[in-house]
Amino acid sequence: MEELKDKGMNSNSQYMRFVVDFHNMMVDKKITLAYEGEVTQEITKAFTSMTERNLEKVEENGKIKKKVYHVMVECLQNISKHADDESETASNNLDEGLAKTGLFLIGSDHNEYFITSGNGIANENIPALKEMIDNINSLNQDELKQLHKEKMRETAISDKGGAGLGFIDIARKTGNPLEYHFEPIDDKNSFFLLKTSIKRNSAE
Amino acid sequence: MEALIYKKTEDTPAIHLDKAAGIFEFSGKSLPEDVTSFYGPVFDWITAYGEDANESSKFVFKMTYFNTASSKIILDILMRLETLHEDGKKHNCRVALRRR
Repeated sequence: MEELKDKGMNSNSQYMRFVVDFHNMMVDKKITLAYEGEVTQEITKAFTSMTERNLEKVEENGKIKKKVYHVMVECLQNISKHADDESETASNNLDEGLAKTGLFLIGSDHNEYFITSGNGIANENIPALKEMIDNINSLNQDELKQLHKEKMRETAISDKGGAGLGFIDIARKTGNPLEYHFEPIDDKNSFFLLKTSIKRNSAE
Repeated sequence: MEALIYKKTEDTPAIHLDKAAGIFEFSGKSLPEDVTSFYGPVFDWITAYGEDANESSKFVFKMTYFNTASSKIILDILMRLETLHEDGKKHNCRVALRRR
């Protein structure tokens, strides 16, 4: 009994230590929102309106506000539409509402806002995604505009409700290359991370 | 013909398409999860309107935000309006885009 109690105390204090560390890490990395879980349209609406309010509070420049909003929506809808998620709670059905597990972080310092999203991806889908992002990163703003035009003309709305324009739009809005990483999980799956940043002084 | 009227929500725009009143307007935010089903009735309405359009109509888009999927759909709507304008020798269809 005593032993059990000790153990409980111990794991409890370990947990508290973890929370303190976690909090410190968030403060240190200036992360204002961290989420791991199901990404749905409801979550997208909640996070975007929350961030909108926060940006209004700090009286952020209107153009920057719009860019942050744009990138958030595209990142969150990317997860709910495109993540490879085989879990029981996942939904690929537009009529029932999409739901996929993902990671979402937003933070800011004096210079920029940074938005990071993460989701599962089947290893077989990595080469195509990598090629798409690398291609976008190799283009300048004029070329991105051109590619955007082409895609607008050629592509139809997919069965997942996407236009295939999300990454191009993010690259155009941020003016920065898309930073990404594939973290292997097992021989079939990986975790895809996408980091974008929006400069605070580039109100253009 | 019946008017198509939607109130705006957090992720869909207000839509007011009313032939009798001569009001054709889209305003607000557009980021629905399923753009095809949300805008389906709009395309149906425009098709029906094309059959018996007013002599002139001014479509106004006052969108404060739209996601990439909505941008594609809005372009499709504009193209349909262009066809309506070109097809109908009798009706003149104008489009006004207002950015906030």
